[in-house]
Amino acid sequence: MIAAAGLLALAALGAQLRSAPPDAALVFVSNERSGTITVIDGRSDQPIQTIPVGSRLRGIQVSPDRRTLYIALSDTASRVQGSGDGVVALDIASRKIVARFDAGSDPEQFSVSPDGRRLIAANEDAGTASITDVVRHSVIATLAVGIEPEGVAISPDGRWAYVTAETSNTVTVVDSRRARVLSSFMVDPRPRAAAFAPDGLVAYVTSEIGGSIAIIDVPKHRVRKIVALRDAAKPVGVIVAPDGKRVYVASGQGNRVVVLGRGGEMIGSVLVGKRPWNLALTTDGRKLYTANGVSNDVSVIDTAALKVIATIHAGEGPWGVAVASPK
Amino acid sequence: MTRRGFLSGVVALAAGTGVSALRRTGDTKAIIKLRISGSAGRLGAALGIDEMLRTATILGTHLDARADYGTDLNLDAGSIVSDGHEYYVAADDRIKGMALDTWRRDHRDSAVGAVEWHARLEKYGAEQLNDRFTRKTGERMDAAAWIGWMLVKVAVDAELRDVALAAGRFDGHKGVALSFDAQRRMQQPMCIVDSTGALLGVVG
Repeated sequence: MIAAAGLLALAALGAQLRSAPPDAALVFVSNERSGTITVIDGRSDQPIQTIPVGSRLRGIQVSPDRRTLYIALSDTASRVQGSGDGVVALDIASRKIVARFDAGSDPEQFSVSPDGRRLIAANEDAGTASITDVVRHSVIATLAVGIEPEGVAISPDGRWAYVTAETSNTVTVVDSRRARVLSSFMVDPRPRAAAFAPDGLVAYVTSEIGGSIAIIDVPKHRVRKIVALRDAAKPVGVIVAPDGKRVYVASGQGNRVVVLGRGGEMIGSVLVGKRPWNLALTTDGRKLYTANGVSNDVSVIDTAALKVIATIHAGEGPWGVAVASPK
Repeated sequence: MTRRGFLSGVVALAAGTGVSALRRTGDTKAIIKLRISGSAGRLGAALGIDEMLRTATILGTHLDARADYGTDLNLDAGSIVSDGHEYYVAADDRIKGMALDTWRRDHRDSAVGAVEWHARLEKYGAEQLNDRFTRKTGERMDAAAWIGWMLVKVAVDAELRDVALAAGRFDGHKGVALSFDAQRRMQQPMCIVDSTGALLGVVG
């Protein structure tokens, strides 16, 4: 029975791999409390569909080929791994869920490797990071990281994964090719998310209670600089512009997106909806989307003008946002 | 299990975690020594030791939580002795009274007390901490247990960062940075409870 289900899932995955990437930008929002995905037309910035998924939705990522949307699900009732825990694959063309992957217990944030073959997920309650091979459809490694792991980012060359951990205030460096832990280092209290610059030489880690961003020297895996944020920011999500010149930070309880230069210099900030958690950029970097967890909406920012140009109603508790842009 | 026996088990665990296999990065200390006395909230302290042991290990540092000398943690007083001064994670009657007065200005209910922690807290990772404690001990995390956990976390965190307690800003799963005031008491949000111990709200 289980084997048959697995074959069915693999067949479905094969089918979705043949589907065409979208010819227009689509924006997907994971709604944590309502268990749905809100689909937004990236041209009109209007919601066009709500996809019920169920369970507790958090991390959301688009595959490098832009054909597949991955969404992390967690059981709402249990703090141990249950049937509700996993990562599902949604075929963007058909908007159907076509596969489900084991990603350890309580997967929250995850990242997709640049070759699209692996997912690395933070397992918050287990204190581990799981590496899932999406082709073989199995977890190939479970690695001990810090306490209460949260954020995951993979370097542009696919070599390194940074896994943040909120209680231990650490970032663990995973050699993703060898599927093992290389080292760990400390950042300010309660690190949440990490993002690499496109050149892979620096990375950025937000610390919610520290109210700061750590700029990481990636070749050395060491903190190069700590940038304290103003306006009582509680930084959460972070994303780097495609040209690497700007870093956008969701300030959580600060209700703003803070914009920094590559070296951490302040460029500006934009007031958005309540409690922006996570961010996504269009491929050209011209529009930034924020998932606002308390106001149940998405703010769209014109990054040239640094102004909100649209506010889009989403489901209950928007947590993550991902953009599938045409190349 | 006695406290001494539990701590021995924790230290034995440290010895088997393969610290030498990890490459140290940053300027972390080679060893952190804690001398722990008292019995209040010892299960919380045990969770703190477990978690900080893992933290120290992945950073390539050794944590000795049953040292004969080192940073003094007094579970009964809820305090840490560092640089010749005693720093209190536990709130005193003055802080608790102020929290209760603040609550009563806006609420007409049956509030009778203020405590540092409550098992029903959920925000800012509190639910996850409560769950970790319950999984480990089978009990609900009360204020004494949180103080025990926080004493270990603060002491180890300060050592790993090499910062003085007076200057440190710490995360205690309360949504704000926690620090010590001029009287060396931790400034922190307080939980307001009724006569049955039920959580009514949080002040601060």
